[in-house]
Amino acid sequence: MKRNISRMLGLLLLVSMLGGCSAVQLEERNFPMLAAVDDHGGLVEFTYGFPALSQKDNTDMAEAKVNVPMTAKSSFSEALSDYERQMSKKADCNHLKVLVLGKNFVEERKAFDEMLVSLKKTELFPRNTYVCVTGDVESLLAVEENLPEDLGTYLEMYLQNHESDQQIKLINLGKLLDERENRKEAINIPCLGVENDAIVPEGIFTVDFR
Amino acid sequence: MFSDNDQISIRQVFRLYVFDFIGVSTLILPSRLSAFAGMDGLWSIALGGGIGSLYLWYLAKILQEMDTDLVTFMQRTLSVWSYRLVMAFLVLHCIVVAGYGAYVFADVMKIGLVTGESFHLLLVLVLLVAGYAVCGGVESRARVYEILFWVLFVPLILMFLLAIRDVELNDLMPVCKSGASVVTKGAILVFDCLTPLFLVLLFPVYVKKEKRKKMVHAVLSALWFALGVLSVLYVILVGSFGSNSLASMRYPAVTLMSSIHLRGSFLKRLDAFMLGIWFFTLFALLNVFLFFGQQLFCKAAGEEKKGKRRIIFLTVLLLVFIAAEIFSYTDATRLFLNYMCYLAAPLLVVLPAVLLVFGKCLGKVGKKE
Repeated sequence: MKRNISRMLGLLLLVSMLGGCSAVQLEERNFPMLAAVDDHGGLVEFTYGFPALSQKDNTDMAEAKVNVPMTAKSSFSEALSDYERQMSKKADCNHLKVLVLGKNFVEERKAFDEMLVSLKKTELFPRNTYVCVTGDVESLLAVEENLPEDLGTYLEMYLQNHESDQQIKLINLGKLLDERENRKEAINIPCLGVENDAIVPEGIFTVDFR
Repeated sequence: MFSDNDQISIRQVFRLYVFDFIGVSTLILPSRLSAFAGMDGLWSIALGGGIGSLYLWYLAKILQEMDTDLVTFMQRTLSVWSYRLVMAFLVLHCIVVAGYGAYVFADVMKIGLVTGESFHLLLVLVLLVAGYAVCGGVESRARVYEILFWVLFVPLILMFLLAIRDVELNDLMPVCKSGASVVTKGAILVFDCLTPLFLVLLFPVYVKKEKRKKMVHAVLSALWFALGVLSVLYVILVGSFGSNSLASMRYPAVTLMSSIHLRGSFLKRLDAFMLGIWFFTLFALLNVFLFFGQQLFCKAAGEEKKGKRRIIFLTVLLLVFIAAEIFSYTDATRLFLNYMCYLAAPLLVVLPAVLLVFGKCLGKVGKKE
């Protein structure tokens, strides 16, 4: 009996020693619902959009320090790392709903391509994250103040609803990454604008990978 | 309620083999095939199935001639040292395949469920559970997989039906563009993943003698069932991701499951449930090779005592752990497929015939000592 117990303890010790690189605990993470990328004067700007945390896990937003200002760096990877460095908790992007891209950024093909390569490699954002383009990222982000919920969740519903009335054809990040590899066809990304503090569809923005 | 005679039914053989074939083949073959064959990978799957069927027919003939399982036949015909040499290769092969199965299992679990968790920890836990399952014997595992069969395959069919909506016909073109050499290269890859067929020579111990012929038919059905699933999955993957993108993916089947858009509170998490099919299939592959690795090691060492068998089992488990760790530090799939293609598959094809011819030359075929 004693021998069996010592064996079990030895096994447990071995297992606990192997667990050096354990996962980040739930309370040490926060969950962005939106990511926005734009280009401003040759610098790539990046920010996350978070839900009102008090509704999700009773955490105070200021305490969680998720109100980091938009970062601007020479590439997407650097802007993202800089943003995450300033956050007090680790960003868990598994619940990310929408990736908002600035028109300037998508037109700057080198920076846009670097972002796609980085996202393909790191698999940071889920493949089923919806993608949309806007002419003015800051105006779109400012709309959140008038919304009953976070912008990411609102945009997800907005895009789905407007797809059903055929004003928008939805596209997700997975499709964008696939087309960059396949180089078979042009991709139409839904374009959104802001009018009188409300989000409006503005047609499509075509990205040709061929 | 259940018999406990270390024998399994033909239906259980079919289901065990389906699980053994599906795990690794559906995870690693689609990206490899699409890299050089595109949509013509489908012809490679069909040709690979044809080669696999021929190989099974060949093994069935050998089994008929031997009139017993491979190990007993080798004990009768080979000298001690040549017997141990062949057994050493077979044990080593079981350890390598089990090690690769364990590596893929822990890797898929890390990527799909517990990102950021320690790979080594996952591997140890997987091997401990597999070790426990192997201790239960072939019968208990066969019963578990018999029950799990429809529980896993009905939701998989449902997921396939949902995934078909995202297939773009444009991505399925062109067809019949690749040459015969490309299709053959793909077929060899497919065949490499079908080498659990070799275990047919070790299975007679666990099946009643009068049912051996039916056992071979069950394995053949399992082979084509698994290839059917692989073919449907391959078409969906090529149609959903495109050939080039598919070629750059690590485990496209897992990616597909997480990409399918599901509505409804229960169905929404069906993608996480579907990872289960790969967990169970990889677990089955790991178990079967761990089981036969241990059995062959014990027979090679001539150990029948329970205490020593336990030490041998722990040694095999440790070797499988080391093999999986080696795979984790290399380009695992390339290393595994190279091993299968250049060493294991040729030996597994040639070895039974050589042993039979050798036995016939000694006049020991069909005789019992």
